[in-house]
Amino acid sequence: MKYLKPGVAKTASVEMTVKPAGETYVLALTFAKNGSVISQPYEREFVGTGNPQLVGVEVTTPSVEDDYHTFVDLYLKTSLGDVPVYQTVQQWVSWDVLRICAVADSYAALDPEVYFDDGELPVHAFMQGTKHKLTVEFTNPTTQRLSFYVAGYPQMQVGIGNQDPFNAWGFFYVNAGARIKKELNFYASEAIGTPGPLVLKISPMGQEGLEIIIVETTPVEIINNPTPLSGTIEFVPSKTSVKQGEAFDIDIKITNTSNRLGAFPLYVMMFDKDNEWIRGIISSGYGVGPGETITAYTYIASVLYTENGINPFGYPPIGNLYIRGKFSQKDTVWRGEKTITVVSGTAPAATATVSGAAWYMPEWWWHLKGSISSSFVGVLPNGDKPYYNIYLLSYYDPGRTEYCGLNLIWGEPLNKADGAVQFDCDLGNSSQDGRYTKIVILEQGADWSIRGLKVVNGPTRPS
Amino acid sequence: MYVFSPNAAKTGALTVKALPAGQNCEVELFLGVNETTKAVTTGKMAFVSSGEFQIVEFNMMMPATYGLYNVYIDVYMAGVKVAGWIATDQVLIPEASFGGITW
Repeated sequence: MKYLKPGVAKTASVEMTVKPAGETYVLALTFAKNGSVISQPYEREFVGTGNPQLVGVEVTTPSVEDDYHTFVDLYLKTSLGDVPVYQTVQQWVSWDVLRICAVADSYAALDPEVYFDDGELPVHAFMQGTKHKLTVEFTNPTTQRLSFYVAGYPQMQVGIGNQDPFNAWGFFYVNAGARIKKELNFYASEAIGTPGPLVLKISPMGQEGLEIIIVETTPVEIINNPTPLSGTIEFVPSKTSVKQGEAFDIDIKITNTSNRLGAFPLYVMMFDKDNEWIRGIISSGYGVGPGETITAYTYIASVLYTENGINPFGYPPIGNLYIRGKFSQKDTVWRGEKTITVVSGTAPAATATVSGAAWYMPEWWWHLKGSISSSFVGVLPNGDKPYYNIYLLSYYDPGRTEYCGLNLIWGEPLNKADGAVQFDCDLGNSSQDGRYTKIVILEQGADWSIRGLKVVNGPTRPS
Repeated sequence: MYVFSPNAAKTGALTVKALPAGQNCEVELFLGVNETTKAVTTGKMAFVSSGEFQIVEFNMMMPATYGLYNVYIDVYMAGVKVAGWIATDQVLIPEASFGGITW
């Protein structure tokens, strides 16, 4: 792309070869926008040599800042008039965009440097999954703020399955007159081959589609990395022995012991003493650089206190609690496991009463309306200000441990330790005709972990 | 010599006289650097001889490439070539190629 100031006199040198030689030709140059000529023709007579020659044409650049193409018409002068060598519909068009802008001189002074830090590897040849650095360095000579970004391949691999060969590395900004040296880390792709170049594009801020400088590196080659991927998963709990009703945290750490990027899904699950699956903890993608250790996730866990063995959410009984995880894709599997012991504990101190509850059956379903007053005395596991949801569980029989339904009757967290809520809920039309109802007050964290439980008896459902 | 633009569409008329009258005739006009290499041609255009000079109109696309071309006219009667001429004026097709613009 060429940058010129608006409304200035310039000489355009057109390189051409015309035949026959020795004849007089007329070259006419015009500026065009969207395929239409917008300027007068600027003409120049010359004698053709039959060989490549430069013909200068004096023009005045368009006065409006915009992008233009240049049309060239050529005529052979004869005694009978000018004969078009290129007719109007067959004009030769210079596909180089001519950008007319007031700061053209400043743009022309932009001379960005783009280079890789390749270490001992040949330039622009990266081993699969290895970490590299790209540096972009230039001074903004203009009077406006510029943005730039790098796109291309290999892309910065931080996600899973991100094989898009043209992944922009965000926008960076350079103030007028400032010099920037930006270092960008990236990982080579796992895909062997020569996918293409990295491209730097610089634009006026806010006009990112108006690219004034484009720099392309030579195509990047990805070569085979003979080193297999290797690594570990480690679980670091805040406690290895917890009481029922007690909270604990687990840091899930991934260490990459190989020299290539490990970017896979991480799966972590919890099992009880009988190796029965309890719940999934996380299923998400992570990227771990060569030799790096990351804390992928911190799981805030709790061991739910259960009353009379009633455990509506399947939380673990006393005994071993197993945290197991794997970070894997295809043939690569990094595993980890940690055992936590659950010992007997006491329920969080809390009181709750149900008052004013009334059953009624307006049509064909059971309906319960009333209020719950709760009072927690601040001894819940983590000591934080708790958030509570109020649930209602109805049971077939007080002596049985299973429940027939879980009805959320207050969807919004109370956001306070003590208080009362009104509830008004449908219980469905179960023909089981529950005889017994309990109100369950749960603390619910952002990850839906349940840290506290208080079970209070509700009114007996009439038969 | 005529000078025409490359690929220019031209319309012309040639005057031809064929005897005897009342015969099914054809005339072909073509451009070439020699008689055996036809750069462009009108193809055979049919007419019935009147025994007098008569006009046959034709359309022709000029050659695309540079050269000085002869103009040939052949006349056929009952499928047999009976006459051939070379026009005194040649056709010049100029040519240009562009390498770019330097500002």
